Amino acid sequence: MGRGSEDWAAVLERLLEGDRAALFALTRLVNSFLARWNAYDFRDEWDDLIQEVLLAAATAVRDGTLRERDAAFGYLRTTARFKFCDRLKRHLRLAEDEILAWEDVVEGGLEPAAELSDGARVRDVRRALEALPAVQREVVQAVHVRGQTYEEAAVATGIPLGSLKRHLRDGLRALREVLGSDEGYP
Amino acid sequence: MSCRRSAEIDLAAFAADRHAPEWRGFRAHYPVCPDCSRAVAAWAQLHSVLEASVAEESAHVAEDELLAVAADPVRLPEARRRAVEAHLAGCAPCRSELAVLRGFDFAALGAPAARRFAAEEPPGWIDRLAAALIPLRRPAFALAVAVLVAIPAGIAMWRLWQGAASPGAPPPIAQEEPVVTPPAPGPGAEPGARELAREPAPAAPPAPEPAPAPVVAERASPERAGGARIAETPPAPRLPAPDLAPPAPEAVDLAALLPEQPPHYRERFTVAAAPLATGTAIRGSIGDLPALRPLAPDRGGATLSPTPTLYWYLSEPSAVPVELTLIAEDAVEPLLELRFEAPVAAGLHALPLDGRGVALSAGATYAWYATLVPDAQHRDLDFVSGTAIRYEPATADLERRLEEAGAARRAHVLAEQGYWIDAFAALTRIAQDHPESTRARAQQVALLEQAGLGTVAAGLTAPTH
Repeated sequence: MGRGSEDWAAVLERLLEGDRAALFALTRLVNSFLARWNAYDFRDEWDDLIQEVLLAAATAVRDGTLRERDAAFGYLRTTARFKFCDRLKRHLRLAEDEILAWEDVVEGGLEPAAELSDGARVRDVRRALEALPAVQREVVQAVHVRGQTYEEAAVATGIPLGSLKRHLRDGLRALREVLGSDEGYP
Repeated sequence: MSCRRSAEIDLAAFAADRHAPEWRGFRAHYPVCPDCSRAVAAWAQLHSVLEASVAEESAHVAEDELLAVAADPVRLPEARRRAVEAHLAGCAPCRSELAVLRGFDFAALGAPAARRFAAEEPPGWIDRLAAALIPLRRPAFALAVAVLVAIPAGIAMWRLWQGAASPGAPPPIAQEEPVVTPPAPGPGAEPGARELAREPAPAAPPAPEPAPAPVVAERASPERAGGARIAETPPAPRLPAPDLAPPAPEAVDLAALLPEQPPHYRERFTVAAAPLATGTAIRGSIGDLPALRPLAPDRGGATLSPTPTLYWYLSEPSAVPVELTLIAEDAVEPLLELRFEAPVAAGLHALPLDGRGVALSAGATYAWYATLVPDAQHRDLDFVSGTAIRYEPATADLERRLEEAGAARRAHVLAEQGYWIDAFAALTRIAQDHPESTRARAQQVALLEQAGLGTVAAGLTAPTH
């Protein structure tokens, strides 16, 4: 079951009741949005942004402005997108009314990971990862799977920082070549 | 395709190291360029696919474990706790989740009376919310040393017995470090004396004025001070406050360049598990003793300098001597001991470690105490206030970000990265250089409040005499 089909309205209600498990589930959801939207230019602000999104969504449930239960997931995603784009504009020093091309990408181009995580695609990606030289696979997994910073990955793998970046670049390039873009992969 | 920029660069290299300085221009360009946005999106999608490909393998900390860590780490078996901590050390997404779990403001949600979807009001909501919030509070830890609890309690009882009155009006604020003079050698001041030499305290005047020149005795740890024996050393000359922020060019008004929003301190390092001394004794005056506080967050503060400038605060002029002590956890001898003979001026005081022949060791935790000594012959009457500091060297990434941030945003970046000690020093320097700046002072106060130092913040905002 994809994340979009979960009853997020119920989770938000539990958040209003002080349920920390609900807080965890919502945090992980918004975290996944931000990762997918490539929000790494302000990685250290994610927890603030997540809190803003959750407060806005929970308040909407509390005040009755979110009327349809089924709309909760969309509300969370849209709120996160707006806040992400606002923050990105601030980082880029853009005016509020300036066009942010990346917003279109965020809105339509990057689908939830859950839709990618089934069946043949997953097997293909794992196979492609396994086909990488061990050192490339290690750094790709450290940075793009476990979310480590380069410094953290360098410490964890024992690979010098410069070499780590080179292996990462080569690994990503190889993955793109193996997976190709004509079969629905990036 | 009208923009060729993404075709002309190595996007794999960008995807692998997007924060490198050479990509600064492209980082600013692609979000506003449709063509480059699409090109970068393909690589972002690759990241998404990679993440999803291992989603079933639960690469991250499980829900129940992260919740346990957020609420009370000791609930986890030790081996599991260590495994989770090791994962957290290297996993930014899980750290984000933990930060939200620990810092989420449930109170901001207010009462759920008008919830749209709930069929009925759940009974006992407040009780459950309170129960949920209690674990989010910082737990008590082993660093609370029994003697530090006993001493303030003893002082409090002694003051109660004396029927001491509560403190009066807010004190004047001294923004300068007290002017120090060479220590006058006393009977116990010979080099090599085991105890820190102390001048006999003068009879305490009923209403002491801020002292222009308190006598200061200083002792540095021998192993940190070039192998010298423990000795009373001349006080360090008056040093320029905070050593971390690069000197501001005269022509630049840093206060005017400060961001509108105050810095946002995030606790990223667990320096001390709990305040070293707790209770009313460290938050207000006891009897006729002023409030004394070494400044750092209540669970300690991190610094990225081995010789940071520390600050301490005295709510009113003190008619009794003040001692400052810095001692490494588990150490026998203090790294540094300083004594300011009475009277000691009220206000914010700087203690630059630079130039004193001492340096913090990376990763080590130091207890930092400020002590009022009402009776040198009866040290059980001391009023002790403690906190902790730790030197956590900056990563290369942080150094780059600090360089990019410039002096005006330095405190914000430092606070964001958990370096409260240095953030406060940077802001204080700006506030001192620009006493007319209400923004600098307000941000200084905000940083104090975020560290749980509301009493000090209130003192700084009180009208000066």
